[in-house]
Amino acid sequence: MPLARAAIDGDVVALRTLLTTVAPNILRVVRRVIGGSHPDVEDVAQECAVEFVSALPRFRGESSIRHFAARVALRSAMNARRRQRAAKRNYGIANELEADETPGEGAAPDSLAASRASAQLARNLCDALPPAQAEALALHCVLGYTMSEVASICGAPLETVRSRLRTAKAALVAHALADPRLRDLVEEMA
Amino acid sequence: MSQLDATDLLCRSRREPLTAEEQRRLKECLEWSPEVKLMNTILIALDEESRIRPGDDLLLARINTRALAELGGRPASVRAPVKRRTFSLLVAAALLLVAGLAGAWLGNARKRPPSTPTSEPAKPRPGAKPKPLAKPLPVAPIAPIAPSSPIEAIPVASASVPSRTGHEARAAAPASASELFARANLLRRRGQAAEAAVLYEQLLEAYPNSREVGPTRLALGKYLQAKQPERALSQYRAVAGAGGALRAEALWGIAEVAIGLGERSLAEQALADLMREFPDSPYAEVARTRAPQ
Repeated sequence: MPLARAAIDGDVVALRTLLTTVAPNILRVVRRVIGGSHPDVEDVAQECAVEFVSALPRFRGESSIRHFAARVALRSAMNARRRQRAAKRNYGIANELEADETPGEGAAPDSLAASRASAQLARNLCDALPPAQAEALALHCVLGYTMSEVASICGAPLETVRSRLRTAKAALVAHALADPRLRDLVEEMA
Repeated sequence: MSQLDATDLLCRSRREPLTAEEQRRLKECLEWSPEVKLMNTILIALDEESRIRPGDDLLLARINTRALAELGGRPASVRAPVKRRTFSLLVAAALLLVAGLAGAWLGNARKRPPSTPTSEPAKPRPGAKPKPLAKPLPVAPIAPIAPSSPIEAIPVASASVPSRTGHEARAAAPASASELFARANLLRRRGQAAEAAVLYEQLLEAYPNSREVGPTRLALGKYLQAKQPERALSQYRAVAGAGGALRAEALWGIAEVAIGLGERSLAEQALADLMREFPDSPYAEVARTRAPQ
């Protein structure tokens, strides 16, 4: 918090130190949201870092600075995904976001295919859900934060987050049932 | 216990040890709840995608440097201009400049008497009028693409030539090692890894003593890691042997390749060196989990 305060007050050294501290978290968020081998990881992470610094004056210390950075990075990365999807729809640009789905040499085992499909499903659902639900789902299912952490990061009541997640996760299971690569995984339990 | 609580347990289990009772409940949920199993699958897949990789040290340094450069060293309270806005303004300014130059040239052409052959290299045909719209091109100078500065090769590499295609990048003659390095990085970022690898190898051959050799070997090692691990290993070893700031990444690369090749002792040695020499490196934390107790 003192470091963040000093950075907000214009201390360039503190800002540099703060950015160095949170940059690995930002990179992790970006890789999870747009894909680890996406060619734009570096650019999107840079964009997130700039957004984080720009958003610092809004940081009130209600969550940790890492959580704050994660939320800013999550929003920026999700926006990047939406921009690319829109570009694909409007101009027919090749969708680089699906790069991770490209199968490697030889046939991938079923578990690997299901694993990739599940990650892609979560990302696609985050693109399609209403923003509040998408953010809660991404923080919980993509970044792995607990519900109380999600509530703290979003500044929302725990019950509200719980409700958003209930709806979002029901949609997640429904979409998984509709995906042939994931149907077996879900159906054997449902 | 609801399923939501179970997914919460799942999140916690990834960061902290659960009690025996919590572990039992989570295990049960993983067996009967499709929601929990699906989320577990998602998180494991994303863990793999977001794992620390060789080159992350450099990548993070580049991200920070470029982000701070974009902010222009201003304090956080002053919002930096967005990249897209800056780009739009630059494009608008360039268009205005071209239009102004064309207008000025057009005005001069109309004022100029037809019989004054001031500087024309080829005399126009009798009766033929000059084509004012075709002439402004030589008047409005098209700036040549300047080679990036060798000192700023790494941070500038991906930003200096964003609009050129891979073919154009290959067609133009490389001016220096930094130029080659920048082009290779651009290709790699566009997903043309094989073409990038060719340029990396050209760089190593043509400029074996340049300052780009270390990052180039790391990039090449990363590319070769899956397909030709032995060659990747030799690249990593060369970087590790040279010492310096890149040694941590090279050691990490050696460990990863050695694990892939089943050379356990080599991997353990590399991880031990990494933890001893670079305890504060982002790789060290992961190395501690991999190294034998």
